[in-house]
Amino acid sequence: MGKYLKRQRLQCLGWVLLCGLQAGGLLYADSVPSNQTDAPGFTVDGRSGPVSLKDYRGKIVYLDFWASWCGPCRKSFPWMSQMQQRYGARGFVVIAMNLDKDKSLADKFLQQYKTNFVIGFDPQGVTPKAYQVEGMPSAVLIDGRGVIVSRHIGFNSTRQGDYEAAITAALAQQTVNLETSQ
Amino acid sequence: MKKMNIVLLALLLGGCAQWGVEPWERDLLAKPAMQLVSDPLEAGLDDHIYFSKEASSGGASFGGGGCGCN
Amino acid sequence: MQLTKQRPSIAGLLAAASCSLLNQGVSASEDDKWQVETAVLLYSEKDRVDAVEPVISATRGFAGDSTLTIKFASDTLTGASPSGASISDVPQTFTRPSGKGDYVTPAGELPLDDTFKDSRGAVSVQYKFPLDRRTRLSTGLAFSKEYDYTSMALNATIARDFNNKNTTISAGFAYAEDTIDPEGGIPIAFAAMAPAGSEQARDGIEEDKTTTDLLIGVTQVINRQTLMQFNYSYSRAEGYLTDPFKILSLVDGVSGTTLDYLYEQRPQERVKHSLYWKTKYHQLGGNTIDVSYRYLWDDWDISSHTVDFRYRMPFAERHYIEPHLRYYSQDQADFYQTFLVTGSPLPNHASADSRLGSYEGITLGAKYGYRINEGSEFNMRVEYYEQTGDGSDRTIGVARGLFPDLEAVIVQLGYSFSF
Repeated sequence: MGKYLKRQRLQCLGWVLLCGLQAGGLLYADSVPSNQTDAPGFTVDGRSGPVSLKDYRGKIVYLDFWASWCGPCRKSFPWMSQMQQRYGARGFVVIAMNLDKDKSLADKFLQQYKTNFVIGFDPQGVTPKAYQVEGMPSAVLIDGRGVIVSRHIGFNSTRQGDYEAAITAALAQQTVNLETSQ
Repeated sequence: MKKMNIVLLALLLGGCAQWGVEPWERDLLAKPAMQLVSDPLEAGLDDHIYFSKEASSGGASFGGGGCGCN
Repeated sequence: MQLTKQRPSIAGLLAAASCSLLNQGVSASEDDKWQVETAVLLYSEKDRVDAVEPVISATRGFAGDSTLTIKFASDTLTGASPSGASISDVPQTFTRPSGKGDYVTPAGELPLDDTFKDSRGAVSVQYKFPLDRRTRLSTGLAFSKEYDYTSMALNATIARDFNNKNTTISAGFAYAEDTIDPEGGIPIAFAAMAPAGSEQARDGIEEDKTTTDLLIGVTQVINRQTLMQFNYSYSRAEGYLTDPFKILSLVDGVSGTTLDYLYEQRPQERVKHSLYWKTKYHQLGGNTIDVSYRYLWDDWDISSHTVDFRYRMPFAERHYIEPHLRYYSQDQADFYQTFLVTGSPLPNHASADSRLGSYEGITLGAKYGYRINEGSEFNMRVEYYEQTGDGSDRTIGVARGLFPDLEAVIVQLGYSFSF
């Protein structure tokens, strides 16, 4: 290969790398996560050590964005505990991502509600930006392959049935995926 | 003068695009003290006093702000 | 008299009805719980009217983010208020509205009419519900009744969010029908007040009034700490807008001697417009500023400015103190007269009701609040309100048409709880 071509190839590779790095980023900040796209990865502080999405690969993850000042979030907590209890054994995990700027308010809130699920703390608001959260609260359902399968904005007690149906559907699909991959 | 007005208007409208917060940044806006009418009963009583003693009334208060939840 | 004979403005009703239309703070009512707020207002003017007004309001949330609010209020008035007649150098005798008795005002004193001792009861219901995630509707009915006054009103407001709920546009409508049925009947406009015991100048026993209000507003989140609101309102009142108990002194153009007392007459229509701007600002230290300005103008030639400023300072976790300052200035109605002078032809409309005059009003006070627990609070406010005339005074001889400066103390106690 001549010197000229080699330089061109290197330049091209350079551009691809740069684009790749841009698109990647540490927290996939530029991705457009909607249904059937990869869920942006994250690592945040938890109640006992860091919480990373990649640690839950293979599980159905219900990623919930909440804050102590959000009224409907209060109603969602007992329901999320119930879901964790009901489907935990089948490989279902709730990760409740707290977005309070003042962590002490989140701690006070958590003292009032017994939670059997994972809590993450993101006071800087990096994850909701990556997931393009449109309203509080918001929940994103991620399957075992790390793909977003459904999401909803707000929490209405009248729609609990629908939220649960999405979870059971994802669990069923997960079983199918596992069987076909074997 | 007209050019100046257009420039100012453009700046203002351009600035408008920056107004607002992300849905998860409404912690302060959600506080009771930050609602447009923090005390509806007091507002109603005041309204009654000033309506009775002055020739002006109303004009105030409609929705918006707050936590924006659900 | 003034606090009773006017039912609360429907614009105020419209405002109060939709005040929390889109405010979904943490204290928003939860399903299955009633959030109850109670308050009692004690209002006392120096040498004039005293009023006591207890209020109770209960709100319940339902699944699907709808809420129902029921409110009861009652007020009792005692005391006297200016009748519209001017001060003279001799004692003045006025006939009571019933025509059966009279009262005397000493020389050199402002004539005050104390023939009313009235109670009013009011009830209102407001229902708010979402149409979708970014649209809300609020609708309600209100009814109030006192001895000589009945009012019925309905309202509806729609609000829609834009820009991820950073912008909200609202449009509201209210309609009210009132009937006045005063003691002794409706006085004939500009008729002379007849002595007690004789036949009074009356024409009919009751009159009606309808009011239509429209409001358009934009609420904009500026940043994490700042919220602003801009409203335009339009109001049209039609029918009997006169105060049947108010009179004007007819005086001699040279000596100022009172020759007669004539019943006032206002136009049959009033169209008002107002522009309103409010800012709420949350300082990072925890204090909140609430400042608003309203400019109002109407076809009676009245215009007014209202500036309201509140500064809430929380302390010791559960307490807050909130100083309050309000400034009001008004330019008189074109038919406002301190008294009428003989010789000149009678105008189409005239009123000496000081509410329609030129004056400034200042309110200064403070409120203290204590949050007992979530959903329960006690608060108390004490305020001083004064009105001082601003240029509409007129004196001819012994007739002194002075603005009746007002001084009042306002005390309010409030308690809220949920169950």
